[in-house]
Amino acid sequence: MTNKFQYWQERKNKIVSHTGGWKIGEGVFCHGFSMMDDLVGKKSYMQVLILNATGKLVSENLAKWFEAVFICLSWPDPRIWCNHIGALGGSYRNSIVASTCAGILAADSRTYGSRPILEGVDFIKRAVEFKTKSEDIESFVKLELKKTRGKPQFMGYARPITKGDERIIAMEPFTKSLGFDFGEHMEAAYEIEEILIRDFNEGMNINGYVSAFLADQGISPEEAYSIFTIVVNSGVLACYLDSSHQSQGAFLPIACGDIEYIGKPKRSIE
Amino acid sequence: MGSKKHLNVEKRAEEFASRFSTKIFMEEPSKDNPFVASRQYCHGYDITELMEKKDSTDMLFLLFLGDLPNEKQKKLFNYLLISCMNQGLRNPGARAAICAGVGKTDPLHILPIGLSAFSCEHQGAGLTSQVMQSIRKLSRVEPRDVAVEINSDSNTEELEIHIIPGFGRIYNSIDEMSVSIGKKIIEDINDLKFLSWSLELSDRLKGVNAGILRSGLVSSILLDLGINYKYGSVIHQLISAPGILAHGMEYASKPLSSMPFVPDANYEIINDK
Repeated sequence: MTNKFQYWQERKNKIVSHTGGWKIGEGVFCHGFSMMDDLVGKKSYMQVLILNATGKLVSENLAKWFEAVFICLSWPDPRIWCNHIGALGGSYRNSIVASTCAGILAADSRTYGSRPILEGVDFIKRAVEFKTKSEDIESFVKLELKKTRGKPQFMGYARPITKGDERIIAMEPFTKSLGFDFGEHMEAAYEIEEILIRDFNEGMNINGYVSAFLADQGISPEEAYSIFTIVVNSGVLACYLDSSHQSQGAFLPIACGDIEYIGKPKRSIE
Repeated sequence: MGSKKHLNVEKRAEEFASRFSTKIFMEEPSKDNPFVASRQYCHGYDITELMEKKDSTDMLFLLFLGDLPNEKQKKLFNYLLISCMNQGLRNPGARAAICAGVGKTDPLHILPIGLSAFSCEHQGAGLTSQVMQSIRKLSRVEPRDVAVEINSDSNTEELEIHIIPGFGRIYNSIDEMSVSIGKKIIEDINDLKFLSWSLELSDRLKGVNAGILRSGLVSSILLDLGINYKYGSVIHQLISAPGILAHGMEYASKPLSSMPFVPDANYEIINDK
């Protein structure tokens, strides 16, 4: 007999997984692989992380490329907002896990960290689709500029604090050494950069480079976002430890008078 | 893969603030030490005077809206706080908190874990701001005219389905609890523009097996309180915190075996490859 809540009734105390799980006494399975037999000691941690994030077992070289990008995207400077949170945790003696998780959560941001990769991959895929329809990339840039009121604020281009991006310069020869060629998305990304340098003196940032590379590898925006979930981990952790080794509360202390109060004047309850 | 010519890395002439600023809180320093506060003011009121003359509902309202509530606002805010304070063990926030509790996670992590889980779109606070925007816009039209536009399939396997933001069905049924909480509030407090509109729409959606959902209820009340939609999801998250924590802590002292563990026989692995 069926009822309108049968769907949920059938799922009580039952798990259906399309990923894997632990069959006690039989083994641990992940996307069709036996983790102990096929993965441990045979595949890198990064390959397994990507397998869990996308269901795809990528090549050793692609996993190495991701490792390199992870290094580029997290460094130990507590002025970066997610790292600042880690440093506060260390300074005020929070747990290292809570502080690092808080920093990772902070990087789920519209402007930096893991989330912008969604828009970055989407942007460059749209650029290539446009270009494929026999129109040039210059027209695509013009159309995009209309959306941003004439400012070159495309995801993957320009950057706060500085102009230029040393991380692309570091990644380019490494990418080449791993045997990866330019794909149509990377071609388009560089063409857009040329236009933005010419017209606005603004270049590509690491998000733009990563997005174009990943789009060339057939990785979707959602898959990229999943892979980069914990990308800021190491920098946040490093900033936590740095400030935890110093006196408590010593990280950028603020005195009462350092804060500008711009609210209502003192008043009494009527 | 080759390389291209890039811009040199150089600092922008960007100006950052030299110090923090706030409208919310003022601290007067001690005469002896600028890092120690001797008096504190919230939106202009001395904290000690607030302690003496007001309660925590007043304080919460003051924090987010900048002024103390009038009698009607306070009553409505109180109703909202009580109705949201605990949404039960089945709520995703509470379930995450229970996993942390029973897993002997540091108790200080239970609330952040539960609140992160509660930021979800279904049966959480994830959509509240979006629902507030939708209700504010739709409420320019009579509920009957909105209802006429709606056609809906009655069968679905979605846990919670929104036929318009904040209205729909849970587990393929009308959310009876949200409807009854809404009606109780309307009975006790007059002239609530958004909640009245939402409940009338809810009533008109019965024919398509739908009604107001928790996100619609909370959003309508927040709009009637004059809260900006940008604050909707986070205030919903905040006021749901006590129940999430209570359920997590209830399990913190119980053994691992006190929570159901799905047996292997009921664990099906489907290999899609």
